[in-house]
Amino acid sequence: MNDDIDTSLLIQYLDGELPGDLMLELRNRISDNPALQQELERLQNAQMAIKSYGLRKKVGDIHVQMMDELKDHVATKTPVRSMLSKALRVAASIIVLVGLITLYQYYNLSSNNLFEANYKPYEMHESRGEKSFSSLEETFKRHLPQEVIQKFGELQQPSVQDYFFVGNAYLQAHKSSEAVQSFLAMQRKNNENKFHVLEDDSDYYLAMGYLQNNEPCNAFTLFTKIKGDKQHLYHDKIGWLFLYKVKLLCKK
Amino acid sequence: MEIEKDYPDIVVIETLRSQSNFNGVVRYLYKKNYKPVQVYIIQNSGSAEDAEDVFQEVIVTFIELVKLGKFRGESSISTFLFAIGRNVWLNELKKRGRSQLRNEKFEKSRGFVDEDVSKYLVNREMRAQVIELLDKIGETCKKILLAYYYDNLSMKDILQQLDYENEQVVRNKKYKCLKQLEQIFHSRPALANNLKSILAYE
Repeated sequence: MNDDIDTSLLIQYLDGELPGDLMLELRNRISDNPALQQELERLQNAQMAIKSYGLRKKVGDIHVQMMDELKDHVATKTPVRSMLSKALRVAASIIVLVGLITLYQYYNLSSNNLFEANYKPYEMHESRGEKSFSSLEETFKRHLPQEVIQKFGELQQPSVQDYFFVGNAYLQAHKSSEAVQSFLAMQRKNNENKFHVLEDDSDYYLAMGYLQNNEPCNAFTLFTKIKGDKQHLYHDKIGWLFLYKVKLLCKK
Repeated sequence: MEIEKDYPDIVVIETLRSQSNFNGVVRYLYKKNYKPVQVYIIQNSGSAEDAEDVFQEVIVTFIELVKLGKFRGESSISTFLFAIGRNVWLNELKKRGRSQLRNEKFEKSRGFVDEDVSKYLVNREMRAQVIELLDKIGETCKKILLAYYYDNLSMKDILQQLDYENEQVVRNKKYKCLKQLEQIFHSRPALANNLKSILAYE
């Protein structure tokens, strides 16, 4: 082992602190002295080990921070993904639910159900001033459909109005086929005489008659005509969902 | 998370050599390169913890190679870091005895970067022993030696940091600490013999 003075010189030499003449002298001694060479090598190794340790320590400190940050980054992303997937799950559930409801409604949809849900009997409007009503009209006004039907049968020459009211009486009495025939007869009379008596009303109630009589395709044609005519008295009574359901029934 | 500056490779190299803005560049290397290495390790029988350990080794190895002038920039830093990570992990798998097939597959597919990198890789356990040696010289010695040899602080700066009486006291302390470490190497010739090649990547 070399003495402390030599060690000190070797360290100063490695640290670049040795003056030029002393450095040259030490170099000569090192080249001739294997023990000095070995000690110099061990000191060099010690310095390298320190530098490596320092680097590892510094990178290690950053490493800890970065791992936390990178994990936080993932963690902060996760709720977004989770919220998104949750929203998607909710949306999917709603779609499935709506689908199931639609499917349920489709299988439970029938002309009669749709008719019952949407049918409102024709109401005669009160007129201002004097207006004479026929006996059949008066009976209809009193919501007596069977009597209306009976009275209609007694008429020798029923008017266009009579056909209309008896048609409605048949609807109320759930005699759909007769109701349809009455409205068709009324429309024929109107056409023959170029009348426009209760024209729009007859369109609507004939369509309702078709629906009640389980003829959804005929009903759909008429309801579509009414919906397509903004001037039609019953235009606003036909909703898109209702029309869609009639169309479904037609395709069923 | 703050938006990290994007550093061109040449700036990364210069910064690591000069030590200025060292932290910023190392953070940038982590953000840009950790994920691919992590994915590779997890896809190849490793865990998230394995990926963390390996990547730290990757960064230390890369910085040491840069400082020794052994990274020649023949590939991008990202490619080089990934290649180091792959090599370190395959060596680790070999050690765990689970990588025969995977290693054969890797050997067939390795490119010039992998070959370039593999010659720099050393036994991680050997490196760990070097670290253990430093732990044996005590905290005070570590502080002084790190301040002088790693942080390149002057004796005057170290005196201010460590609250010694004067510079000569610090100088003497540094001498004793380095001598102590040298003596440890003297007592473990096997480690000492390999140390230079380990630390100098030779």
